[in-house]
Amino acid sequence: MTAQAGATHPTSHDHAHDDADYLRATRGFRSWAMTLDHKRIGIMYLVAVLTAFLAGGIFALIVRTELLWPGRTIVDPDTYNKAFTLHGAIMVFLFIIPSIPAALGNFFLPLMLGAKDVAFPRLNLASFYIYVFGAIFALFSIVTSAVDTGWTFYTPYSTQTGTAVIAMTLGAFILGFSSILTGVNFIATVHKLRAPGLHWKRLPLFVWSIYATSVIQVLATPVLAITLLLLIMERALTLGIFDPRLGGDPVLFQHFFWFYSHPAVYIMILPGMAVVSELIATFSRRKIFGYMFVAMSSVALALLAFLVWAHHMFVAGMSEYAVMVFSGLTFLVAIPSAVKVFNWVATLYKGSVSFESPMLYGLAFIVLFTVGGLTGLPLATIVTDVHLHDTYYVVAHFHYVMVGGTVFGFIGGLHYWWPKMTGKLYNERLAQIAFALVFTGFNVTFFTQFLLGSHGMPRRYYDYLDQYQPLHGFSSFGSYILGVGFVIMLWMFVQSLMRGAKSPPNPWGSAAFEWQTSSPPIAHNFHETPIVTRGPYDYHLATEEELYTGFPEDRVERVTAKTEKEEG
Amino acid sequence: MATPTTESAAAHDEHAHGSHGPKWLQHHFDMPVQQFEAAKLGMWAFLAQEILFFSGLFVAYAVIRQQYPEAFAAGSHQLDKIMGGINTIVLLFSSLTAALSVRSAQLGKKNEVNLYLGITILCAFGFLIIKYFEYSTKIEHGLLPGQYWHPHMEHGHALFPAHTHVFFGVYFMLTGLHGLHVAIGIGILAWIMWRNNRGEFSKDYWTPVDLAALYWHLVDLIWIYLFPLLYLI
Amino acid sequence: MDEQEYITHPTTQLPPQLSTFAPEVDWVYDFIFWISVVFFVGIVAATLYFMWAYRRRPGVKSEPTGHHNALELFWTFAPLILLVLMFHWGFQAYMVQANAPDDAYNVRVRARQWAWEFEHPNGITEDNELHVPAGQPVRLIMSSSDVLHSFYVPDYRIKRDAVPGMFTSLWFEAIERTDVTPEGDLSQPDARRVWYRNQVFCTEYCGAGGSWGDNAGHATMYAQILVQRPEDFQEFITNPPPPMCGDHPCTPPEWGEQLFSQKGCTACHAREEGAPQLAGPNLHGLFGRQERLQDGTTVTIDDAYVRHSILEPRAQVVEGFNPVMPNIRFSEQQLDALVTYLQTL
Repeated sequence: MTAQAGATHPTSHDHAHDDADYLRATRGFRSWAMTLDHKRIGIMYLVAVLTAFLAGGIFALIVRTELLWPGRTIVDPDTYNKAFTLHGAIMVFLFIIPSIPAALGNFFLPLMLGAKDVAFPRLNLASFYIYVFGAIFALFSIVTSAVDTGWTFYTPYSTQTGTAVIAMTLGAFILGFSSILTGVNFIATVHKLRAPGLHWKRLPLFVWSIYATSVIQVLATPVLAITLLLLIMERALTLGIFDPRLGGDPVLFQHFFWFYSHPAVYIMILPGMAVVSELIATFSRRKIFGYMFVAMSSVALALLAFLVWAHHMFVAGMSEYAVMVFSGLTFLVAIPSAVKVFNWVATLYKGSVSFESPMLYGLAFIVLFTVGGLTGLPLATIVTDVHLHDTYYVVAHFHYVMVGGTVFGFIGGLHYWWPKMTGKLYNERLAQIAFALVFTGFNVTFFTQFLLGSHGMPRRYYDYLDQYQPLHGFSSFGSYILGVGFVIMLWMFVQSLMRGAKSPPNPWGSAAFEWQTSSPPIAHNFHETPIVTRGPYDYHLATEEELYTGFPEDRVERVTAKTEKEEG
Repeated sequence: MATPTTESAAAHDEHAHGSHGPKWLQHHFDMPVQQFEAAKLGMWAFLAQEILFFSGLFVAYAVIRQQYPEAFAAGSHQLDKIMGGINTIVLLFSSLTAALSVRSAQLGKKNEVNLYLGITILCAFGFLIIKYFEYSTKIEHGLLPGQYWHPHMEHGHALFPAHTHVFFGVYFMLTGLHGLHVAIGIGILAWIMWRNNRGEFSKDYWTPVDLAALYWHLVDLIWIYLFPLLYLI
Repeated sequence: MDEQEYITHPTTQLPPQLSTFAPEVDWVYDFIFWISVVFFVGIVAATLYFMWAYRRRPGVKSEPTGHHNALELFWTFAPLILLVLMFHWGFQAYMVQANAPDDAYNVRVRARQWAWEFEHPNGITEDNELHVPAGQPVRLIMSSSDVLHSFYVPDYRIKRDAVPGMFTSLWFEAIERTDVTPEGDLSQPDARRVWYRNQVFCTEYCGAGGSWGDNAGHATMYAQILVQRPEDFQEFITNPPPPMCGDHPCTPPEWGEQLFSQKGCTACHAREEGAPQLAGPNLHGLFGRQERLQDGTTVTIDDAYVRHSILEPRAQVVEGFNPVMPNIRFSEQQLDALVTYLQTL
């Protein structure tokens, strides 16, 4: 933020006396557990979602290991069904949905707006505890008898199975409210807490996307909440709304479920796009090409998200005309998604592109999201979807979007903002090795699954015909590479926390606002309310001082030496 | 905690009070109007969420009614229109008193705020008491969803179309969830009343009264749809 | 459609084309695939080129971003044309699949955990096997007696959910293959002669039966479509051959054993001594055993109890088990064979 000397805001007051950064401002367990500081809440979310990611990842490895060979490999069918259900439920409800908005969004949204905090700090802390409370229910379900319904909880299987469905759905219900309250908080924050001079056309694209995400969270999540509540009541009190034995309609459940869960896909991917826009701009030192088109495409995706839910149900027994309408609407989603990709690529043009680890994730995002997007086309086309629906093709497609998109965005953002959050640098070489393994492992795992699926391998299968073994084996092999990559990354971050060098305020030389304060930021973010005089990507307007580069240190020295030699 | 350099964010609230404006202005807002607008916007977003929460049930109602129209007619016939009607009037009246409490707060009339909030809370209790009698009649007559369905009426045996129990499934879900919102509303209004007694509100600061009343209007609004959809078909 | 060429072997991406729909579906698939390839290569090539050409160099600054509304509008709206084409062809081909011809041969399909039962118009039923004539449209009218299932034949490119409480339907026409000739004396109809087989999967998750056995629930809810020459099929449907066990007609216990696995009993009932507990009682040494029932009474297992338990599975449930066994339809002869088999355990 260009906090210009002497241009203090009239109502800002002197904070010179509390200069300590937010990590050191106060000490003790209570100062964290009861904190109202959005940055600390963001860090607590980060720890929570990373724990969930680890748990979900372990279940994924159980699934992939079981599928190495046909028949029984390590677990029995019941355990396998629980493993893939828990993998899905944990990854969706406990990891991906809160990952970028709740963890990174909480930390950076107010910083990017030049605000001291989110609009409702107490509500923000409450959201976190609601998340923890929901996670406890999910955990309770896992340790009792787990769930074997698939993360979609389709009736009537979910009303008949003997597993702990109520505990898990109650957990998801509660997590939903955490998500809703975060959304409410962010909407009010973006509207009312922007620093003077920060008008809508100057908002960082991260903010635009998180804003669009928040709107979906507020409007879609309550429908999931009521759906899960009805499911709980169906099991507990036999309502008869979804259960065909009592006259209910199981397809109605699917409509309800996807009315939330399709927009939820955008709750997951929009924040990924949010991060990537920041990464591409920073590491190209250039304003995102077609800024307003990228911003508006986020909003368009948020709106379209509500109109396409039934494309998950082309073969579920809908009328041909409903199928036609939803297929047509689904194609529209391709437009804003493509607009974003084209603009990101165009941003590189005439930029000054460097390839530090966050940028590697950003560029990988473009490639993987393109694959994910393009493979969505045969799923939107009715007749090819009939063949591909509920096969590994779909599994591969949404992993390219969710993992290649959201998780890569999240991990890229984590690398990018790590120095800002912790004040520490990390080992760039290890980070790049981890990237190479994650990228390779991911593609080996999931590209293989496109082929499995198009050859007809159905999903959620414990056992399979021998003809699919080579591809399954290859896919599992890839998942181990992916796992090793994440372990190295974890090691790299732990190492940085333990003995990482101190980070300068703006290690990447970014012109974005959040880098203009100290690393880590002080408890109230800015010493004085900043006044914004340029956009977040206006590199040509930023001063040399603002773009100070210090990471990794040896590279800076090398560049400096080289420059001196050329000039000399 | 006491020294400025180690104060927590929570403690900072108190620090900020002294330094930039009235006591109720939170530290991260620059101006009262900003805080008011943020709160109001947040509340409207929350209310949108509430409406979508109920909308799921309304859709379920529409779909199942279209599947079993006779069952819905027969089920609806078993509901007590008089009690439902009284409840509608009670809630509408309470919405009026809720609105009046906001006006009194804006004028800084502390005692009037208490009076109007008190009447609103009484109406809410009245609504729940009437609801209790309605529920107990239904339970007595076995007009319950799913496997608990065992209708037996005083005047001979009633013949119900197939799946009438699904109507009662929808009925209990809708009214139960609405009743829960009324009960939560009582808690919120009582809390606002308590804060009013502590003298937290003034001509300049009455946002919480306003927000609580907004919530109460929503509860009323949902009932206005529930009543005709369930009782008057 | 007679002129249509069919690719009858798996290709890099797709299974063989063995229904009349398959070539058109594959054509749409290929169309989308090659468009995707063009876009993907274009995007990746541009990215790589820009990465190289505009890599950070000392003293070289990035240029400020300008506005190019014409370009933005172009790449916002130009892809719409391709999307409309995809939608159109996808929908057109789907409408063919959605409307079965009037002369289609109707088969009722009943799905349950975890088996498929097929019933021909003349009342003949088959388990996990469906005989169909080549070159004639066949319409399946599907229902489910418990949870959602989905009928999927990759070689035909068809899929449809079987939903409890409603009927769904789909149709297909298996092709007359030119690359494979039926075996034997083709001048004589043979009810047992199968031209070729196609795998049926269940693609809507429907649970599992406990431990690993022959029947792992959803994952092994397989069936096969046995395509016959029309004259062979006619013979099959008018004079169904007795069940075969290996190369001889089945003896009653052999037939019973075959039925036991065809009807999906293996998912819940183990038959070996000391086998892991499944959803239903172990049937080893069944007859003569004393069992406590849920109502507290004790019975000695005999023909009458077994018969009754098969026909009304939830009436006399052994203590410690849930009443989850489905009603499975048996003819009198099948029931006799099954009980005879169970006596041998």
